[in-house]
Amino acid sequence: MSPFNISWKNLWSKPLNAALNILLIAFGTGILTVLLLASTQIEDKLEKNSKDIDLVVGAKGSPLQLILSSIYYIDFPTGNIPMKEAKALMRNPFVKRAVPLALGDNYNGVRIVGTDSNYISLYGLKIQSGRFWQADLEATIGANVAKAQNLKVGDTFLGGHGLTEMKDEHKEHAYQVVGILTPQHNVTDNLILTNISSVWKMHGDEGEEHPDQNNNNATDHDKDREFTSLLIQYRSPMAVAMFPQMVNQTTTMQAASPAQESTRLFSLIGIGVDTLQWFALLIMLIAAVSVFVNLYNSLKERAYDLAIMRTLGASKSKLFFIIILEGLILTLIGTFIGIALGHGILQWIGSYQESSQARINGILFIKEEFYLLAAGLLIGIIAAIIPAVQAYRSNISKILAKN
Amino acid sequence: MISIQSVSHQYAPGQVLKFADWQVDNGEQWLLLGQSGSGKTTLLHILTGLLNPTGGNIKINGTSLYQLSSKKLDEFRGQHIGIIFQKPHLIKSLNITENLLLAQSFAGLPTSKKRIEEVLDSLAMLAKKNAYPQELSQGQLQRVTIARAVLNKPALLIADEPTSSLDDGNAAAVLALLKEQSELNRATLVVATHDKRVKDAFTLTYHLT
Repeated sequence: MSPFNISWKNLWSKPLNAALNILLIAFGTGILTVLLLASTQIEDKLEKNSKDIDLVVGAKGSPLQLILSSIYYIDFPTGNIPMKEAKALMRNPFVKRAVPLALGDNYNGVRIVGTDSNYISLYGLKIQSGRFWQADLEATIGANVAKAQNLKVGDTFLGGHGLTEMKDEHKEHAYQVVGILTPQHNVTDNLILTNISSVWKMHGDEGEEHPDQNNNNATDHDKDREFTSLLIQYRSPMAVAMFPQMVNQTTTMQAASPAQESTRLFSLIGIGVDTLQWFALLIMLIAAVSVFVNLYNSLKERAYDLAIMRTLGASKSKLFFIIILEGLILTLIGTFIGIALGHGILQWIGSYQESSQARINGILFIKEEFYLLAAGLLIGIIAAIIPAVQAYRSNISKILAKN
Repeated sequence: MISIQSVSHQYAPGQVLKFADWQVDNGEQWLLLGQSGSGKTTLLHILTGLLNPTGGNIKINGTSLYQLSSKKLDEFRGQHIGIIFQKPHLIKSLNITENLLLAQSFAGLPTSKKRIEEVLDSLAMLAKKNAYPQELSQGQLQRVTIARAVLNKPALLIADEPTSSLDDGNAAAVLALLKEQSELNRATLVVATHDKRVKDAFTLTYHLT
């Protein structure tokens, strides 16, 4: 009979107590796992998608909204900017590269992005099959789009007006898939890319008229065409101080920095994360107390058992070890279940998430999870140490004489 | 085998129990007689290395008990002394075989299911080897604790009031088993009791006053 066997059998002689302790620890660890994985992934996604973009210029409105719509493709655009003004900015000496975006359509919820070839070099896009878009109504699609929408090179599809739902289909113009991108592990995996004039064509270049609910691509006339926004890369770090101010003060447009806005966004989410974190830590604390109370109470009932073990030749340190082991078994099982639970919950949440751009993955493992495991071990030892010391110190002669 | 010399124990300030010197030879069967409160249990705890007396010297098989380290003393007890208590006490979460395996592994001896079955068989308890303690009667439990005490073939078998909670039939049976088992395992036997039913079975007695 190894000490582990003795501890194990003793724990499961009271299955309800053991289960309650494991449940509490699993719950606390589960929440911490979810928080850890989700915040790591969100931070990672925010960073990856805005990697080489220094500034976004769009219509005046919320800067956060502008960033969300033009970099993460989550929110609605703030409006449109006149092409003439945008073109002037693109020629500015501070600007190394400027990529125009025209948004406003979708295919089954996948956003159709009108842009030019600068977009390819900005994101470092590569082709998996076919080629990049060139002529009007040619589309190159992201790897996830090809898989999810079951589109191949040569297929055609109709765009719908708006950013999320397929209503008011543009029946006159069908796009043709000319290429599929290799997986980039950023937002472009979930986009349909085409040229800007295709998007214009959908929206009235050829006289098509329809109500404009989202105030994105207004009906244009040949002379004052519009973009949704510009993605800008600076030529020199000096631009950081001058360029955004210049845009905001001298044009009708606004400039928003992805880095600043992402930080702001994350600090907004962060408050919620912090609260949940404290909540989870509170649960872990309750779990630790519960393990302690469980071991402490059972120690009173088992005093005679332990004394008998001593008469059979078990040393004081062996009894100490047996009690510590009981704490460890409870918290380790709880921690493992909690981590598994956290991954499961995240995967489940991910499968229900609408926007594929921000989807969270539950099968990802990160090294911080080892800290959770270590924390579980520590809680087990801390909760068991007082009962274990008592078992170590108990006066067996007194216990045996009392009976 | 057992030798105690000028042993005394102070269990409270000003209250000292003194024990007459005692010499026990190998294979002898002794009765330790005394009223409740006369120090029977105290002497048994001193003999089994559970209670360090405030004075005197105890030798078992030539080993001075209280000069061993705490860990060595526990091990010595597990290997050389078998103890049977008044109330049979087994670990509730373990079955009979596991309880006996515990006695082997705690004593630092290799575990042997064969030896366990042999001992259970000699006590007519083999059929219950997979039962849990709460499924057994008091008499059956006492037999398992005897099995546990003799399992490691101890040199010394000590029983503290082994019959006091049993009826006449069971008391006689347990006593017979103790004598039989100590002979079978070549162990010296010391039975502490104030039970009059036991007296006639022994010729050697040590009186506590």
